[in-house]
Amino acid sequence: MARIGLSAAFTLAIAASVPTLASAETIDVAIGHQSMCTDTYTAGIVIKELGLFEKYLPKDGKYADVDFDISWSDYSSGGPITNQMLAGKLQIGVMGDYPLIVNGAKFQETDSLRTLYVAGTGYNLKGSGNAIVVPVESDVYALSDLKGEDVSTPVGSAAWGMLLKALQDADMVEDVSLKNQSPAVGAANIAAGKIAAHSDFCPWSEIMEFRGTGRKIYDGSEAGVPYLHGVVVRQDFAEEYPEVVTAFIKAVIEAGQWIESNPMEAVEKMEKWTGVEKEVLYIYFSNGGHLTLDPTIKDQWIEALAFDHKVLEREKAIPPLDFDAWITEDFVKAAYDMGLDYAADKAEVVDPEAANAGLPNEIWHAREGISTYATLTEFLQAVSAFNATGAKLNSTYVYDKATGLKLFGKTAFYVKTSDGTYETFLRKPDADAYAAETGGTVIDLDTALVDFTTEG
Amino acid sequence: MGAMQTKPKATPEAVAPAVPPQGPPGAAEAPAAARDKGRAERAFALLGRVGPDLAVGLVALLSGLLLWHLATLYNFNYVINFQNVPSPLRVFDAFLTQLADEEFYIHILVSLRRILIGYVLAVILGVAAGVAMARSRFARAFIYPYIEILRPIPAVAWIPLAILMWPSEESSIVYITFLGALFPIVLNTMHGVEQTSEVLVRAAKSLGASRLQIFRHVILPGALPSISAGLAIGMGVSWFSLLAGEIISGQYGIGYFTWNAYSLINYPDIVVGMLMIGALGTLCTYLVRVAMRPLLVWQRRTR
Repeated sequence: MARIGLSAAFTLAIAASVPTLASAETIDVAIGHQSMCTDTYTAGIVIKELGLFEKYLPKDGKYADVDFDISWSDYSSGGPITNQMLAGKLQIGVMGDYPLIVNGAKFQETDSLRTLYVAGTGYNLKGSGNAIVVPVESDVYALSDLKGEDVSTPVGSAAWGMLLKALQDADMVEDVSLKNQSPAVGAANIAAGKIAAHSDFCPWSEIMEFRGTGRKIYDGSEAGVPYLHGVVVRQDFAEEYPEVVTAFIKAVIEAGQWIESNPMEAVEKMEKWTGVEKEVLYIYFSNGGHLTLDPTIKDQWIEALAFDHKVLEREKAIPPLDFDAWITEDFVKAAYDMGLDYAADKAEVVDPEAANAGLPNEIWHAREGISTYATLTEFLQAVSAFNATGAKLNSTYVYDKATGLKLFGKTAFYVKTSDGTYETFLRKPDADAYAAETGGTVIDLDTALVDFTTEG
Repeated sequence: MGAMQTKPKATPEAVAPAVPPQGPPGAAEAPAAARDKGRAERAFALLGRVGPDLAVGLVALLSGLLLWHLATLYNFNYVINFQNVPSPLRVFDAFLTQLADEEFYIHILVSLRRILIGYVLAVILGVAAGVAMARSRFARAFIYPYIEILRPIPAVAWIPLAILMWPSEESSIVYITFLGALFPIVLNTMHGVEQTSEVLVRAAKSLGASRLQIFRHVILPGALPSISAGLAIGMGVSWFSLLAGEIISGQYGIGYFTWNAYSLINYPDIVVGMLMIGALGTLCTYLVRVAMRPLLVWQRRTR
């Protein structure tokens, strides 16, 4: 509220000062972003903090005499951004798949106002990023254990859509009582053990895992619907200033390049900007992380969005959405004239299971940074050795054998097979099955480390 | 509203001290007929007094509705923008749709239950604390700092702690409702009790009344107008706070309904929720006033 009040006061101040610069036209560009949603960072906090939008803004032709007034507003979900865009207070918004659908459909419901879906920011092909989390002490290990329980989720978010899909797939829609809780409230309820489970979007599930309050029992990848985020722009704005929209997407592309070129530096900077721990951000933005940064608009995304729209139509009576009128590649293609190949990027789809196969496990030492270990045995030896010297480890990362997803070393389930090798899993049922298959035992990190301290 | 108002007002005035109001039929026909006639006359007179006010109120509401309709019809946009505000007809449509939905009633009943529990607790604790603070210097010195420090804290700020501290979600929402109602009740009770005229207390004392009798017959009646004002304000604020609790967390409740509509940008339902809250809040405040009226009879008698 204070923020809105402040920005209103600011707008007034700007408006009051305009007459004195009568010669120059001022173009207001207000962007709504989400600093608590990792997948939007390349179209939000990174551009804002690095000043990338300003870098690409057009300065010649009809813009030669123009001043830009760029303002950024931070929201905790997509709904309020759509509200502000409808009110004409924001021109550009960035949000996840379900809120995007609401955005497009709600605009098309009005007489004359429309938005355009102009670019993506990032995705996870299998749907990771959304997850269902239970309190860490809970004895729930699988979705089916939640029968008869309360499960909360931010209604209308991508995590809500994922939860609906998961419950439908498991034929459990009638067995679970759904509650609406915003991410911060859900996380507080998980920490206090007041709710059986909470379904949330990135980075909340990992924040709960990292802080030791929650444990994932269901990853969005099990629902199998891609999880993506994108940029919507008010059509009237895009038609009047198409070069400005293209400039924004160029900034999105450069923001992605900046993260990919040095994930370590990027997550440290982003921690300062957003307050989300760098160890949590690393699980998204590092090589092998959950998030594939990619501004292109793929046919699969349109299919996924159409699927999401059907869910919303059925569950929440969302008005129809004309995808052809809503989605346009014109701007993102124009932005690719930076010497990049749009068709190639569009055709490339990263599947974590294939892409992460063979990636080394990682230990993040507080002073010495990241070191990598090809096998889990080496990894465990190293963790044990670090622990013996009392070294401070920021975090450790391993991969889920079942899905290829990056995991925190401390929350993974370890299987010690009969021949003394190790595998790591996100979910206990997967670990149990693998242990049964290989004659191994399921253990946690501390137990696994005991082996190494006694042996070594 | 008009008809409901006439009844409780007319009854105490019409009751002659010796004759119980619900006397057996036919027991005293002539006085009863006279009483009925008197009652009808008085009711009519009351309508004559209140009628114009009601009419003005009705006209005010209707013209507000009409302005809202016109503003949305012509997409009024000067400083305030009505372009995407739902029209009264659309809101009414949404309202009818909700009325046909069983869940809407659950939302309302759940909210009413939370109000009832939170409010009753606040009345008990608030009146007790208010009386204690007004009658005992120690109690006042002890409790007053808490009241003053906690009072300005908005209900929403309590949300995270309420979740942590209370065993269930329901209890945390009721707690927030309770807090909202508590402070106006405490402060009004305290001021009401303090205002009791010393002359009356001394008069009662000189007639040989005990401390308890003085409290029961002098101080408490004297404080009742102020207490009942506090109760009415407390009811309003408890609705205000309840919504903060429901908005943040929950599954049912009219505040939750409104917030849920917001997360899906469903403007007609948002307005339905807002107006429902307004109506329920008004109704509850009115019921509090009606319930307090018999206790305030002495005010009219002494006039």
